[in-house]
Parts: sequence; structure tokens; C-alpha cells
Amino acid sequence: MNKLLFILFSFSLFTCNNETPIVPTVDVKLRVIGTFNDLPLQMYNQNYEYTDGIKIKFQLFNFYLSDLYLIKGVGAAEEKVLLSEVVLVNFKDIQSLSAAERGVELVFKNIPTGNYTGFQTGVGVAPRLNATGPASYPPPHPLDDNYWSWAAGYVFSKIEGNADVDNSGKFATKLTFHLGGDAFYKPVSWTKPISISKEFSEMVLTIDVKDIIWKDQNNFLDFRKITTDHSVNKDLVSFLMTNLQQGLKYR
Amino acid sequence: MLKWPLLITLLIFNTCKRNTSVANDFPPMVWPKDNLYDTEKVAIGEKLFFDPILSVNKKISCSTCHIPSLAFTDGKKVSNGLFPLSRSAPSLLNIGFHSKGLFWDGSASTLEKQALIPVRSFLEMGLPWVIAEKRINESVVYAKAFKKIYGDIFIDSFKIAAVLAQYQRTLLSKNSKFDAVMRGEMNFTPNEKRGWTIFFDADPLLPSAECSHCHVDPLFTDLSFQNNGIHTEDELNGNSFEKGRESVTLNSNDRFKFKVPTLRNIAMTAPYMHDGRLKSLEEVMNHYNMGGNPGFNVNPNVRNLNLSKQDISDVIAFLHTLTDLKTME
Repeated sequence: MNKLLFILFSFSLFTCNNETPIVPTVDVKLRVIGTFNDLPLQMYNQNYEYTDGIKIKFQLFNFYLSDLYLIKGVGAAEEKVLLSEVVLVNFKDIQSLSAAERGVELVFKNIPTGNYTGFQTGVGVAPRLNATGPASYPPPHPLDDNYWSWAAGYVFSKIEGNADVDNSGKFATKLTFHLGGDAFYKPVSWTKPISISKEFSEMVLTIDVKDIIWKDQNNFLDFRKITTDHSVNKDLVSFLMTNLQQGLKYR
Repeated sequence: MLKWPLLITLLIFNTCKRNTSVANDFPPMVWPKDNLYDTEKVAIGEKLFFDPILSVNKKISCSTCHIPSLAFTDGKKVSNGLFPLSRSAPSLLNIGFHSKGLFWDGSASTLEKQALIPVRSFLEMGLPWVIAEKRINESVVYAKAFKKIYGDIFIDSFKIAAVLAQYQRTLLSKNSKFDAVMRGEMNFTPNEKRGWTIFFDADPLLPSAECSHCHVDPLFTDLSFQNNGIHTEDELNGNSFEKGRESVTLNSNDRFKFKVPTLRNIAMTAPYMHDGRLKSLEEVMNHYNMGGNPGFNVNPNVRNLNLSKQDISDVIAFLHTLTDLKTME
């Protein structure tokens, strides 16, 4: 009986091998490089000139990306390879120039090599994931934190720091902007050739934080007037989340 | 024939699940693969926790500074083992969920590693592990109990720490009035409800106390390390012996960052802060209401709140709903 099972099992393996060619896999690295007005983005250690003489120091900048896919083919022949359901891009520990130049590094395991035609993701926590909560995720997990229980949803992005609005050098104005809400989840995609091989398996996204908070001289976060929002002001959240989505660039 | 082992397996699985389950909204507790839940280990761990055998003078046990009726704190400004320490005893309730570092500065990554430290610390229990191991191996009661779990082998410090960690993971607090309200079994009073709303910044028409950025429910801590502005700017920029998280990371941006403590049972755990400098919840609320001391790394959520006396009183009323007396029996 055991011999028969062994033979059947071996045969099934043999059959599978014939039908499915083995595609080599590699670990793909996604680096997200932050800047502010083109200067490397560091927490704590760097003052940044903002606008109207206002200077900023950051303590925290993070945001979620959901449903990260590499795309292969186009139209009806399009295939998607899932890199990850959700990641937290967290600049909390980016506190030196060298770390800022490296950016936040995320690694996706066992991704098939090949020539891809694009990359897509969503900025924020996808609604189906946003309907869950930390209780669903044994730590460490990107979704084990940054949760508003009272609002039953995740904080998609946090920008925290201090501003010097009076040129005193004291950075006494405290800044906290926490953004979230299903309505502000933003898909984003890039169509471009992406070759993933054993020799090359790195992708790079860039984000300039000034692009998130400053659109033009009439549309910007004026820290003399507003210093905090926890997604109460929906116009503000929309402004910031739209800018975050549009500010993300594939390099 | 195969049915009996299957039934026994299911029975064991269900028993374990029952003993370790917590309310649905709690995060899953992660038990180390080499120290999975075991009722026998928990029982020895509990006995050891209250036994002064692990101190040099046989007068101090873990429970000297972690008293169950005080939510496993000691009610003192700073703890006093063999000598006074510089920090207060944090509550151990729900400590098994603390996956991002233990102690005020996060210097121990797991409960197994944490348990090794107070025993040998000359300020706390002052007993070299070599002697502690000898005492346990020579104890008829402990030798028999450990043998039942591990077999006839030497009981070393790691096994002793493992059972202490097991017991501490069973210290759960999830039956406060707050939990009952969340389960729909009770209602807040109007003041408690207003305090809840202010605590969570949940209504733009009411003031915001900004508490829940760090004191995230259900644990009422996000397990992060923060400078909450309790130290003065002079202390921050000076040469203090106490450095908080910086002493672990060696990163000066972490100076005076301390682990965000749980607020569960907070009404039972005065005095407050890592060094017990604030005597009452009113003092704590006043500290935050004033925005704390300035400093380059003070969490920006610590800001002038402009809360009225009534607002503060209501937040404190809400904080009292986090008391879970049953856990402390």
C-alpha cells in the first residue's frame, strides 16, 4: 500500500514538473527615498526652509502602501504578481544623511524574475484591510499599530514635527497631522519596463514632503494658522493625501 | 483506534485555548516557540514570583515591587529592592503583549530576557545566578516541579526565567468597566462618556486631550518610546545619569524617551511617570494640559490643550473606568 502511494506521489511530482516551468525567484527590494525641497529627509537632525521664512524639523513621517503589484503584459494578457498586501513606509529611524540617502528599505521575498511592464499600489490602507484592526495581526506586522479604535480605521499617514514660525530658532510650534479614511485611499500606478533578475532586483520610489504640504503660494499648509489635524478637516486630508499620491514618483 | 488520540489532542488544544484566550479586540499574544504556554510552567512561575528565594537576603521577591493589589506596581515613587532604584515599578498586567521591549527603556526584548536581570542586579535582588541556580536545584519542591517539565537535568537560569515569563504572560486585565462598555454590557456615566470622547479626540466639538496617540486601546499603550516633556530642557541638554531609551540605542535623539505605560488600572498605580514625580492623576493631567516642558524630541502631540477643570475631571472619570479590580484579587 505504502509503495503504491509513493509511486503515485512521485508520478504527480513528475507530471507537475513537466507542465510548470520553474521560474527563478529573487528577493525584490523597494527603496523609498524621502526628501524635503530636494534635501535628504532626516528626522530630528535637519532644519528645512519651508515658505515665508518658516522652518521645519521632522520627528515622524510615515505612510501605508497597500496591494503592491508588479504588472506583466498588457490588456487581456495582463498578469499581476503580488509583492505585498500592505507595508508601512516609516521614516521614524531615518536620522542621518547616509540613512536618508538609502531611504526606507522594504524587501519582498521570492518574486519571480522577468520583464515587467509596470508597478501599482495604493497609498493608504486598502478599504478591506482598513475594516480590520490590530487584533487580526500578530506582531510584528505593519497593521499592528497606527489604529484609531474610535474611528475604526488606520492612520494612513502621519506627519509630525516642529516649526519655527517666528524666526526665534526655538521650533516651538508643534505639528501633528494624521490622515485616514477610506475615501482618501488613492491607487497609483506606473507603466514602465521593470526588469527583475538575479543581477537587478531593486525598485525605487521617491517622495518630497514639501510636495505634500505645499502646492503653490495660495495652497499650502500654513503653520501660523494650523498645526494639527486628525482627519477632522476633510478638505485638508484630501489635499494632503492627493499630494502624497501625486508626489510619489517611480525612479 | 485512531479516535482516542485525536480526541485527546482536541481536548488539550481546547484547554490551552481557553486558558490563554483574551477579548477579541486584544492583539494576539505571541508566545516564543521555545517557551510555549504550559500550565505547569505557569504554576512554578507563579510560585517563584512570590518566593524570596531568588534574592540574596531571601527577603525580596518579584512581588515586592509588583504587588497584585496595586495592579502589580508598588505604590512608591521609585522601587526599592536592596537599594532604591531610579525608576518606578511598571504594571505587569497585560505585559505579555509588550512585544517592542520591556523595562522603561526597552532594554530587554522578551520576558525571558527581562526575568534574568532583577535577580542579579545588586540594586534589586542581588543574587548571582550561580547561587540562584544552586538554591533552586537544592530545593526539593522546585527540583521536583522542574523535573516534571524538563526531566532530570540541571535547572539553569534560562529555565527559571522561562517559567517566570510564563506566569507573567497570564497576567491579563480585560474586565474593567471600559471593557464592559465596549462589549455593550454597561454604560458610561455622562462624565465618563465625555471624558472618553476628550481622551480619544473623537468629537471635533469637544476639546482634544491627545492621549490616544500613544495610549492606544485596548492595551492603552502603543508600546512606543516617547519623550513626554516631563524633564526640563536643561535636563534634556545637560549631563543626566538618566538617559531613558538613549542608554539602549546610544542615539541622542532618544534621550528621555521612555516606554509609554499602559493606562489600564491607572487609578491604582500612583505615583506616575518613570520616576514617580507626579503624585496624582490631576497632576498628570495638568502636566499635559500645560504642554509639558519644551525639548527638541518632545512628542509634538504633547502640546497646550486648554482643557477646563471640567474637561480634566471628565477625563479622569474615564480613566477610572480602566480599573479592573477582579484582576487584582
